[in-house]
Amino acid sequence: MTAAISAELFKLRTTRGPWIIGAALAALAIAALAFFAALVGDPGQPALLPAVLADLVRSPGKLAGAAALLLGLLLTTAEHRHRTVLTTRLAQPAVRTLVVSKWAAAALAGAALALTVEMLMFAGGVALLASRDVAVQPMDHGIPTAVGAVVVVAALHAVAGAGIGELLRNPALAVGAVLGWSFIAEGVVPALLQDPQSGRWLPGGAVESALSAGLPHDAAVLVPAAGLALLAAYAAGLSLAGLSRAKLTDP
Amino acid sequence: MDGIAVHGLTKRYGRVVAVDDLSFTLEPGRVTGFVGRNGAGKSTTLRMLLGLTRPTAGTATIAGQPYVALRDPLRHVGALVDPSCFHPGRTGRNALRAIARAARIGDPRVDTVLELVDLQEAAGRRVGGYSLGMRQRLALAAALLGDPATLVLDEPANGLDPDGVRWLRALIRGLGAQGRSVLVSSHLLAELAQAVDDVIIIEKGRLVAYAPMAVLTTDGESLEDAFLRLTGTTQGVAS
Repeated sequence: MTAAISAELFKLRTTRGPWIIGAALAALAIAALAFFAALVGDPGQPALLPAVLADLVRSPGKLAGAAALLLGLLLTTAEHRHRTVLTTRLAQPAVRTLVVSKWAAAALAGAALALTVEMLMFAGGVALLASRDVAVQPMDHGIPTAVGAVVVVAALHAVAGAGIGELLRNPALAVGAVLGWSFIAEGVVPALLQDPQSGRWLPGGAVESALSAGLPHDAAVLVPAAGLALLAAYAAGLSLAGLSRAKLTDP
Repeated sequence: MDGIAVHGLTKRYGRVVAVDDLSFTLEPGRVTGFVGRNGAGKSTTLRMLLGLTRPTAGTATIAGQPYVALRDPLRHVGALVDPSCFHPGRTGRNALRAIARAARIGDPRVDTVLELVDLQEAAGRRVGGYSLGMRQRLALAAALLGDPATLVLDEPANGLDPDGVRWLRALIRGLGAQGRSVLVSSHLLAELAQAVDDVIIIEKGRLVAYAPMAVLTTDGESLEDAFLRLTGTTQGVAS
């Protein structure tokens, strides 16, 4: 299993796609940080307080999740698109071992991606606070919890992405399905059910609640632990569906 | 020695029978040509042997086990099934290193096989810029990674230029001389005839003949003539 995970991580880092995703995420984080630094403290804008550091590390949560999901999708769909699945299966014919190693590699890569952007936001936030003589309190305001939540949410997104990729196999179809779900289904389902609160049980709602870890509880979302568990259940369901397809169909 | 045994192997796609109750056992340490027309079932048979396609019926084993049950399969069997099975954005060396990692094979072996297939100079280039012949060599390098006792090569001469074909013939002969079992499919019969000890001929998924090359080509008959005679077709053969 270790060899298979190592091979999957090697595949990720020897193509350009994952690096482009990482660079785009870092660029967006830096741009957001610069924008925030330019505005904060101005008249009519929030004051620069020590608690701002927590907001900064929490802010890239959804974006890091989306990037990790894309990373997971790439890990599996690229195998089918470029037919590398043949050499992969020849080297590791045990389908379950292979698919589980992909989940593990996706989780590690997604967590690493999120951790990198968190470190970037944290370092930028610390520099901003220090430059304006505001106290830096890295262990307060739920900062460690927020960082942990962002990293775990990203890892789960990556596993879900790997599952969706294995299930659909076609990169365009997989990305289209994810976008369709995020921008259409997440809005339509609560309307169809005539229950605005039902959205909290959907993947988007689960992410929202998981990323609220360390914040005062908002009744509109699930408690963070429940949100995290629900997100893990979605990731597990998609991954198992992908595993089933891999076991039932020839490469 | 890892022997290949195929018993009652059958593959149906709906009403189409791609491979029909095929059975043969390869002599270890010999180079065997696997011959048939396009669509005769050669690639399907090889894919079933390698666990890439599920048979409808029958078994295909290597060293007494199905490929998927082999521990460290690349150390038993090297396979070339598709020269286009490399990520175009990855370098040739990294494509092999990815396979080697999954099979717990060290990086020095990657450089050894790159040298064997004469790709060391292009190893740092992305596979997307390789010619078909270079991808074929890279696929052969992947097959040799585990230094296996058995090789299964599906149309290895495709895309190779005349120099490449000559090089491939020498490589296959060399592998056979080392005592490895080689099963090689090709429709380039004249070329194949120069490299193999035995020949399996299939037609419409069924076994037509399995015999030593010398027996098939008695009376000075070429492998091509023997193939056309045995498959009951003589179109295009000058009298």
